[in-house]
Amino acid sequence: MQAVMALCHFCENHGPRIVMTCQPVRDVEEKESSPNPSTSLDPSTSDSPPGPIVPLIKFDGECEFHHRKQTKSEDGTSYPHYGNCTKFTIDLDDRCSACSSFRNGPCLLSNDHQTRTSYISSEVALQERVYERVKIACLRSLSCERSGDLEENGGTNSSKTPSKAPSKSSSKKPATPRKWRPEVIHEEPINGTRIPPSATVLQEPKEDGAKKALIKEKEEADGCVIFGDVDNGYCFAFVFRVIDAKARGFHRLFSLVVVTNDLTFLTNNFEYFKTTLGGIKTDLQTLAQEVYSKEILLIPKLTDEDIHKPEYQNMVGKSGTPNTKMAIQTDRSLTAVTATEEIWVRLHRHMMWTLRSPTLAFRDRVMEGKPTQDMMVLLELDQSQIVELELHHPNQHSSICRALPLMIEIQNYQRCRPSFMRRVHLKNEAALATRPDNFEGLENEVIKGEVSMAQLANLKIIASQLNASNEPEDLDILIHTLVTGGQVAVESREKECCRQFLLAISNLLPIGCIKLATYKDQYLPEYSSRFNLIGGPHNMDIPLDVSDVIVVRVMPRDLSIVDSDKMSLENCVIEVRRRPENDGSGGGLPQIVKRYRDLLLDADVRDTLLESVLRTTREGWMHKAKICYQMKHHLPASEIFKHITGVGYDDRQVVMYWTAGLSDAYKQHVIASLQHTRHMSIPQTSTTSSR
Amino acid sequence: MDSDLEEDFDDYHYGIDEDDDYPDSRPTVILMGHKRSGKTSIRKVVFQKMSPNETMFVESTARITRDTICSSFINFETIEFPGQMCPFDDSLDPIGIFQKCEALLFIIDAQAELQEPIATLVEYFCRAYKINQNIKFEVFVHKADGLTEEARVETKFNIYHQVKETIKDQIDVDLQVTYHLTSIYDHSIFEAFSKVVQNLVKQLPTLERLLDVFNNSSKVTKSFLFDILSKIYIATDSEPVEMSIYELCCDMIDVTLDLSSIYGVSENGSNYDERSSSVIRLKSEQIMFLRQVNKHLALVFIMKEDGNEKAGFIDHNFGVFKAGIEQVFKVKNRGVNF
Repeated sequence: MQAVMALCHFCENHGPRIVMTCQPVRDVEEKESSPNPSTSLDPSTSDSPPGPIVPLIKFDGECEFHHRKQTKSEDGTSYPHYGNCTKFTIDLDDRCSACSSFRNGPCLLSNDHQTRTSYISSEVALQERVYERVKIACLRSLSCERSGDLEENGGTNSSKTPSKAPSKSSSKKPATPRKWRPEVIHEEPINGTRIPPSATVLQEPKEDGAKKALIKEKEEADGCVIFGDVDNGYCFAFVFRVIDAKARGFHRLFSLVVVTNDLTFLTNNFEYFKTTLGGIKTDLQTLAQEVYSKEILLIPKLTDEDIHKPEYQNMVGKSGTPNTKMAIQTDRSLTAVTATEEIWVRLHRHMMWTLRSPTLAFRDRVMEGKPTQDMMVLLELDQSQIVELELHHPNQHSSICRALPLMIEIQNYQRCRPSFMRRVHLKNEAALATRPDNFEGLENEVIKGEVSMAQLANLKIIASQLNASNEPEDLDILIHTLVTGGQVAVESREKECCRQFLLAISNLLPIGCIKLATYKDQYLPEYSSRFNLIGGPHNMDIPLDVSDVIVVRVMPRDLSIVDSDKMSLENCVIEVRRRPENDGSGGGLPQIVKRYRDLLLDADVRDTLLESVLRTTREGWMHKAKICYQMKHHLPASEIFKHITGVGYDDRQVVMYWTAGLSDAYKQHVIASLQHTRHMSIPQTSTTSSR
Repeated sequence: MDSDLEEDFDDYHYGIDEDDDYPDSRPTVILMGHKRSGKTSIRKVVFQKMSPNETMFVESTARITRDTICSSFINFETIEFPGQMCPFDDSLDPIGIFQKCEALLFIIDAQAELQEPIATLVEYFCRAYKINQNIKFEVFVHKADGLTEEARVETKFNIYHQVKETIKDQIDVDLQVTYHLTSIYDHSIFEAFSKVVQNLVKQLPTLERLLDVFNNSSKVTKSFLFDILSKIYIATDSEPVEMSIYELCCDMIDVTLDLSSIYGVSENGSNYDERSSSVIRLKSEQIMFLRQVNKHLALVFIMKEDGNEKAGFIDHNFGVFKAGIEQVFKVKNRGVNF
């Protein structure tokens, strides 16, 4: 959004002043290289000579330091930010506390990494051109333009009201001039009460007299208006008053302005600005009202001597009610008026979100949700394992890292840890960065996006070939062996074929259950327990005492095809060379085996749909595994599955095996909870025994 | 005299004209001065009938405030600039504003420090003069009620001399500046504003002559032609104005309107019309008369009580005077207003 926002105040001492300006600053390398000069309000488009750098409040940004490309920007600042934060403006206006906020001290910064934008709140804009426009908007909003009454006009523009300010935009002549006179003397008929007109001059100030007059004026002043022109930009202004016991008339006049080059932007978002700026106004007014209520009680009342009375007051017999004295203090800052030390931070947040939200409205965003066990396991894996499993891809096993949430950092005010997805993403990135040179995985970044889909395609090929073989049960045996913790050994002369086969079937297991060795030249005895997915050469010597293993042979039909298209197993012959002793044929198959088989053999379920279904199936059974893990600390093994719905007798082996795939963090959490519960129950036990 | 009146007809500015669709043609009176000098208070007391004591609670004026004063006889526009702003800022279109300006009022707080306001006054007057040389310059030495009589005179004298010398140094022109000692707590502010308004009335010499003729014919001591709603007199005879008599006349208007509003409200809700009149005998052997000229104007005059005051005689002379006024202010719908 090409707009800045500012809080302006009509200072009793100095007149209209900009108190605080919130401006978005962006990375504009692309724009700068563009031959067309930008006419936007973006500060980096200014050609003013460089001035002093604005000192900003330091903020942690702990999660972003390593992510950002530039931790030390061209303008010499060492804090992370986007764009150019150099201050080009020299503000020579006289100021007092009432019209100052940051002065030349530190200002506030928020980074929106999603849109690569920094929101900087300072007293005046950093760039001269922006400063001039905001200054004009400030003057006109407070002293010239008449805003529409919110209650009567519903916040509409001032076209109905007497916009008689000496501005070009407001010089339009309404059709009914008699109706738009702001002040017409003696037009009100004197009815009913029969108070003589001259009495108003002589009467004492009523207790609420001043207040009523003020309320009337307040209604005239509060409201919003859009004004501007091509030369000075366009402005949405929300003018309002903040009550103050020590101000003239008990009120101070403020305006919130949004200045931009784009009139359409303001008109399109009129209701939005009216609502959001109205919210800021209400916030300020509420704070000020609380302070006023306390302070007004401390101000002494007017006495008879303080009131000017007509010479023959006593003869007339009027008696006035003393009112409150005015204890005027013109240089009270907004901090004092609202009694809120962090008022500028509060306003900064308000303004930042007001400017940011319309930008986000144009951007779709996937919400993060609860982390799955796969994500949690992924965080606990070694980097070598991540590389081996090719889990760097977003589609792999879960939709990791599709969205990178906004980070906002302000020291001492808000600290946020990086989101879970972001941490997973960062870990994957780090794993990729440390990938060994001799890694034989896919090096081509262009085709990396198709890795996961290629694995799923291979999975479909494997299923169809096994199903079409002489032994159609081989597919069930393979899946059964896989999901119940048996070992799958793949023989092939081509390492890549082994690897692709194992990666393909790994999609049927949760990450925590995968122990993968894509290729071993020799099968050592300890491998039977160390890996559940292992690849090796033809006629791999697998000891016969390893009973729960299925050996599959993958033979390319044409070696030249393997080189040209390494990912696909389409041109390979897949056959089962050895079956496990317990192949599940003795009893019923687990539900997940049937589910996987149906999915893999269904020609209509493929690619992203297959990926989604496999993922949700895995997650569904992982939930059962989680319950099983919790139950087994409470109940004997025979009792556990009675309390888990949807788990039959044949599924027990699967669920028991999948508990091994739960993340360490989850397991520790369960154990810690158990210990805590036991710890809490000990005193009760001791009490009981003492009885 | 009729021919002279016809000449003045075309550039007539005053009086109610319901068909006037071009209010921008109204004369403009600009109020300027430092913050807290009393600009808004003057405006509110004179034109909005605010109690002087209530002005203590008036907010600081942030806006350039335009008021159209048009429902009474007088018909002009006031523009008040906040004291914190320079009216000659380019963004405020100073040329457009001051070219329409007929009178420029600078209000000085007599109880505050004077040097800085005088410097500002001179600067503003000089800049306004450069834009429009026909502006009438007026200075209100305001809040004079807080000073002693000697201090008032001295303050006014000091301001007068400093302004005169400084202006001459700056633009080498002897600007005609009128000074008024004013306060909202007495009638001086109305009297001063009356003088300002009279400067805007082009028919003022004719009106003065009419009043002189009326006084001589009716043996009247002093007469005022009042706009009764604002208590601003738009003309008086050529005799000097005594403040006490002016206050008496203002009080008489108040009394008349008060009584009329209690006992004389007509069916249409109006508590006075062109037939309203009143007579008050004072213990100082003087008689005060109020005769309504039209809906907005009233002739208030005072004469000695020596037995020669005859109602018929005065009525006849007043009728002639009224006819003369009608000749002066010819308006389109004279049936309504005169």
